[in-house]
Amino acid sequence: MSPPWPTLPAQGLLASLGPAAFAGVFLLTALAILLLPRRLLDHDRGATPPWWRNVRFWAVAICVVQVLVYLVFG
Amino acid sequence: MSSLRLHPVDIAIVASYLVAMVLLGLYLSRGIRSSRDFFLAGKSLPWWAAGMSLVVSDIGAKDMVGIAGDAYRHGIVMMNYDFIGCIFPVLLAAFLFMPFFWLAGVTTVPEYLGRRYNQSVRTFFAAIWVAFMAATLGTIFVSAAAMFEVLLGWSFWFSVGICVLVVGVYTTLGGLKAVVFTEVLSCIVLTLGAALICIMGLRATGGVAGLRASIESLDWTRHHFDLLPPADHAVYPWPAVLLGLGFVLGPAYWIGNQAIVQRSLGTRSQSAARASYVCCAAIKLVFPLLLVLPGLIALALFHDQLGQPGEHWDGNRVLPLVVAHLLPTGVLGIVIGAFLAGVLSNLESYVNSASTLLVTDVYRPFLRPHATDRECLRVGRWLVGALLVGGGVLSYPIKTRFGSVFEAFQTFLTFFQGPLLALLLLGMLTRRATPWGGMVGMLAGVATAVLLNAAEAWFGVPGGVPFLWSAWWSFVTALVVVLLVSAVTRPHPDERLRGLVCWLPLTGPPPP
Repeated sequence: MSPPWPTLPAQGLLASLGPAAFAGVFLLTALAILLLPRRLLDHDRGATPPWWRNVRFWAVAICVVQVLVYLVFG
Repeated sequence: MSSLRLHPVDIAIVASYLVAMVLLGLYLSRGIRSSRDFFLAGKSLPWWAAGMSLVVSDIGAKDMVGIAGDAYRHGIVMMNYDFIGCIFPVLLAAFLFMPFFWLAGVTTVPEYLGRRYNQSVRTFFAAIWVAFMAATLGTIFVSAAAMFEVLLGWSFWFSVGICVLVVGVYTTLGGLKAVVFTEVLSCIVLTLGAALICIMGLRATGGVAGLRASIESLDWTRHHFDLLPPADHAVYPWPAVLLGLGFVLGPAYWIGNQAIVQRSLGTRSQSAARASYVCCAAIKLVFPLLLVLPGLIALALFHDQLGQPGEHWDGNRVLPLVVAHLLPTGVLGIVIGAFLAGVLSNLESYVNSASTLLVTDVYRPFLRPHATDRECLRVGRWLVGALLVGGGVLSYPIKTRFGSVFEAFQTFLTFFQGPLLALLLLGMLTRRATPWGGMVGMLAGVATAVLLNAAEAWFGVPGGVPFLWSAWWSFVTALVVVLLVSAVTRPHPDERLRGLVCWLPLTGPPPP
């Protein structure tokens, strides 16, 4: 069975695409978390918490760290 | 290699940890009066406890030993198991999937699948999860015994017996609450122990620069410092890491694994459940370093003894060698305590969740539909004991068949994780997925995974198909077959799907 990915010249492009693809996944996740409508998220209907108790803030911060990790070490 | 002679200080530290675990577990077992108390901790867990518990449910002895061995063999690519393979799906679970389980008021993932599709799908996945958990228990026992044999000279069956006894006492009595709070203690000890291994190891290698120089001087470690290996890498090509691990195995594990989901369902509210996942993701930013570094340290310091990994190379020797050679008195006790923490937390997670599955998805619906709550509680407790003993017995054939514990664990996962994720995704995102579509898609996906995993043995494919590609293609097959069969079969009416599909919200108040 041949491998399900291109070979030779395309591999240089593929190698450089790797970090961008992984960072892109986390970037999109951060955007989705930021843009998620509150009515879909907060079924408990509590008051808006301050930023340091806001789960969305921390989730986006984690995504940003992951973007940096893949761009630097990918 | 001969076993260590532990200093009395180390023995005292290990014994204190074990006693603390048992006493904490026994203390928390007070007030367990119903099956909801036993299986969901009475929905009283704080987010931070559930979050720390999620971390150690995933990172146990098998990971400490297995990842160190695989890091020795493959390098820092193993960190992807916790980055794209954990943090990404955990955040997906927190913000997209968890609300459905919560609003549906279910106790198990198969219970959700049963309500969304039908009883056959529910029973199939419940049976598979129980088999998987029993096999996982076996791999945990194997990795524990490998470590204890090297460090303490304990025999295989003696190690298994000690684990069964300690975990059995408090998990049988205290249920999920005892499991989660003892795992908080385990998380602290595990972090401390892993950090100490890394600090001592880096001192011995001359810091990060010395570590890197030692490893790069070898002629077979070209990709050891590539977080994303090239697309033609034999085991971890980056496209397969992204598609197979990031989009299939990771999400299926973190969204569909009963041991994981049960902790979030035991929290006080949806917000607390979400916070527990995010807490877990935050801790997972650091943990990969603590798990991978010991393997690299072993490679830098002991490659003369351990050699170049080949067909019969045993990766389970890597971590014990580092521990035995580098750690001084006192620190050794903490690290052995950390290893015990990993073993015990993994064991208690899986026996508790397997018992929950058996009572909720097999005993109550099929064997005793009119069973009282007290009877279910009693059966749940008996099952914990039976699963521990069964897992211990199963560990022996696992030990003799598989070279690497972690590889065995991943092989079990790939058979059904892809189809499970496909069914959950389509079940939550479209009302059109039908019961027949779910059943046929599930079988097609599992068959694909089995065929791809056996490609080398059955079809002579040289080197076989990387397991991450198996996971990806079994997911795609299940997804396509569910959609095709659903197009020609009858879906459930909308009223039945309320609260189970994202386009059909509940009309009444959510369940308590």
